[in-house]
Amino acid sequence: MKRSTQSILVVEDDPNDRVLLELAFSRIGIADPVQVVSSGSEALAYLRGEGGDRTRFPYPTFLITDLKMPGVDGFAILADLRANPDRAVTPSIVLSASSDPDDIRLAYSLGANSYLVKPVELEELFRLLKLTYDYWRSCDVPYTDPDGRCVATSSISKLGQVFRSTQLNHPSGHSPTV
Amino acid sequence: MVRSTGPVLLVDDSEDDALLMQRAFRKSAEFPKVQWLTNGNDATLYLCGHGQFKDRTVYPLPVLILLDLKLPVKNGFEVLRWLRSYPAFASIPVIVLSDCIDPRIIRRAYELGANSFIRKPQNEELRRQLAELVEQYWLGLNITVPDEPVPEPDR
Repeated sequence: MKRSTQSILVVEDDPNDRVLLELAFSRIGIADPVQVVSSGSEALAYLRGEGGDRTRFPYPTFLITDLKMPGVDGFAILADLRANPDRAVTPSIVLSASSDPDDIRLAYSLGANSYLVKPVELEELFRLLKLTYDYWRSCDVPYTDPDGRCVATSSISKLGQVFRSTQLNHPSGHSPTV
Repeated sequence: MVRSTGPVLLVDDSEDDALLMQRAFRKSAEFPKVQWLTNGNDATLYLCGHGQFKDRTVYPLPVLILLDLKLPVKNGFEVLRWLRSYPAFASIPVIVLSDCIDPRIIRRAYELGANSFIRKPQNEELRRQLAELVEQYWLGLNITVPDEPVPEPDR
């Protein structure tokens, strides 16, 4: 299901790369809001909705993150998303200068949906971001509320699988599980 | 950084849907061979290189898997769960290609390790666009690494 409001969260600590990414996004003319944060800890705070107005800073439809960042790195962001199933399963795309197979393997094992290597040439970066945006915008992602929590209720699916569910605004404050 | 050269595995029990997607992929001269399987159990046997699929020169590991969910024998969720439990297949991208747009189904697919979920295109133009995007993004841009040894199939 396509969300009615789509937004992209980009996590990049290098100021030069941030400028290039912002330039690339404006050059390819993306209609959806793009939030660029400069550290992993900012990204986690954004995802948790800390101190932000969700109408201005919506939960992202998908996330693009660098890996090697001081403090909270890209691996930690991936791990945090995986450890918080009550939040949306947000497609996470790694965009890193590293082509080290160990980094690639670890990123996938932590739940990265895709791994892209940062190109050196600016035009290549533009092409990469355009294609990334076009592709992920065509995908279906889990439907969420503005805070990123999945809207679902427990049920027996057509495939006979019972889902763990998160029910919003439950009177007890707890989520029912099956 | 390695670009694999295997086929695209298309797992779909609908012959019509499979043929239409294969036709869309064939519009690109560079698209790899599509290996079509009709049920989830064959998908696991293929990946393990067992039964009729044991000749790896004929049935090499795929570079990408397009997976329907409503499959006989083993459904798409079961294939996903099985696949992601083995490091050998951790970095083979899996795109769920399904008629089902129930948000719970979409979430479940991502939770079980699908890289991406796309509703099956309903006309030729949309199929062509999807084939082009899949080729350019997953086969041209996305990076994977060589995998570890392949497991034995489940008994």
